[in-house]
Amino acid sequence: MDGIEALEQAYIKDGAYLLSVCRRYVCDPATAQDMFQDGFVSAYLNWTKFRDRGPGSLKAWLSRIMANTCLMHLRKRDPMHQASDLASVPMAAASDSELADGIAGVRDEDLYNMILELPDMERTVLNMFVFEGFSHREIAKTLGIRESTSAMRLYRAKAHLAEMIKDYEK
Amino acid sequence: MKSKDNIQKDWQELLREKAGNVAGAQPEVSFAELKEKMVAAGASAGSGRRGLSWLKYAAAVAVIGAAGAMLLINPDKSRDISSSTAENRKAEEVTVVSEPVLETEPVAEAALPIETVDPVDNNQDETIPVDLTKLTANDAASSNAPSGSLAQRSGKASGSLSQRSGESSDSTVKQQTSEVTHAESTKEQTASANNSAATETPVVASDATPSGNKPAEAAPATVSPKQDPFAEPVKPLKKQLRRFSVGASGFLASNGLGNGKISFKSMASDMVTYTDNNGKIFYSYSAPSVRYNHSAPISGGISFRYNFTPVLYAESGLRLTYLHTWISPSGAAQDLLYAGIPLGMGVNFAHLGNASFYASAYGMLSKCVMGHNSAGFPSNYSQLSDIPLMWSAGAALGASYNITRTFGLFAEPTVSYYFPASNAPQTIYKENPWYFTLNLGVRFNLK
Repeated sequence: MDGIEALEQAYIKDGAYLLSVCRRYVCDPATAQDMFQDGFVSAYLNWTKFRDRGPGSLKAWLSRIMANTCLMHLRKRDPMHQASDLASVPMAAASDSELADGIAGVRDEDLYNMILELPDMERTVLNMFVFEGFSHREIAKTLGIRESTSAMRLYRAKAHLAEMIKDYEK
Repeated sequence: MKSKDNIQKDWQELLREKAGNVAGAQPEVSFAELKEKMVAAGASAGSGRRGLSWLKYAAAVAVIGAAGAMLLINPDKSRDISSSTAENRKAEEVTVVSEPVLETEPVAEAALPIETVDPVDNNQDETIPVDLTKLTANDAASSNAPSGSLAQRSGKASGSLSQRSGESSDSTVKQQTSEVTHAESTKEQTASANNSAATETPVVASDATPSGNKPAEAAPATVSPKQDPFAEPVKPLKKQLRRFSVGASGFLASNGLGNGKISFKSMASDMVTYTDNNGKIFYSYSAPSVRYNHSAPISGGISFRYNFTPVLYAESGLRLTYLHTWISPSGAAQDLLYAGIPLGMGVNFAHLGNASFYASAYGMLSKCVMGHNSAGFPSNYSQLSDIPLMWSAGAALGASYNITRTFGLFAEPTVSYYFPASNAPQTIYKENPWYFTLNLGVRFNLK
């Protein structure tokens, strides 16, 4: 299948999903639209590197490209080195089991919006760790931060998320 | 009881399943517009690097052409010891060759009386063209005879020969003229080393020399090379060796010896796997790449050369190299400045006029002395001391042209290899360790 043709089908079938991936990283809808376009251009330029491993592989490949495109954009803004507002960080995160229970009780769209409300640095680490499957070491290498910093930001993201779920349940 | 890993997996999996599959708003841009952008981006990819390659080749051709032109314009060789020595050697060879020719001179002298005394016979006889150059020394020497017999052996060529020798009927004057011509011809032979017609000097010289202008006793009948200062074999002058030289050079390198493709590097793991709740892999794929773009390295420096002998030399110096890398599409960039100390040996293997040619090999240790990363460029370094040293080695073939004894230009096509270090910054040398450069510069030969 020709690259353009395959990308057109992916655009029609998974365009909304791929745009939501961009939004999950950059929040701002207009910026997410730009990242979506840049991601497709990048996919076209790298088309020879795509290996078709069955249904879903193109979607996964494109979503990874969207994520990387957004990461490049975030690096430019350098949210990783912004000072965090310690006052807004919950003192203690909920346990993993409590968090899992809380997540299970929230509607998908609401959970998605909660992620968008996280601070940039925490949302970025959460996205990379949970959705892209990076290790803290890989996140640290990619973002130019220390592993301990990555782990700390994930901890804060979880704490924030748990707090929002707690508010949601009320 | 669930282990900690299973609990973590649960909340992550739940989050991935619920929030990861949310499809939001539709893209605002149509695919037709996207297609235009994609095609436009694909058409222009890499054009900048190709343009740079053309510049490189154009510069190389220009340098080679300029060097060739400088060799062809035949500069003033009086300043060059080696060229004058070469001329002296040629003059010595010509002098030796001219000796037998000098012995043939009586042929011309002998021909004159025949013409003047007995022109009738000359008219009656058929003129036989004789090439005097084919009269060997043996002919003249074995005869060692009166001019009359030699004239007979040379046939009746004297008619034409005498006309070329001048119309004077005075055989005495002609003889003196001939002797003077002999000396003059020796001078001319010595002075014009490239005159391939040296064996015809008796005739040519008599044309050029006004008869009777110089005393006949000025030149002996037989001139040995040792008696003639112009024919004196000159000992090759010992070329003064200038041991120290200082060079300043620089280059704008092209892409490496590889295929010149724009390089792509993964930001993180190359292979990503997704697993289901049971830990079973349901698909994996190669991670899409982040594009690293590299500008051509810019390098310049100063070098010091010490000549052990006219052939062997050692070279060292200081070389600064600027490397610029940026990632796309964000544009975050990295700028590094390396200072390197090369150490090498070389040999001068050929000289051609003012040009000389040499070959050298070197090793270089470079240290990053200045670095800057814009926000967002992936880097593992917080300070310069974290950046590892860069080792490289190379070989060069060089050509230099001395405009004066102390100042010259040089061009060195160089092949270099930069030893890759796993923890080295992402630079063009890390991706293309083999490199070809054309090093251009000036050199001052001190003392």
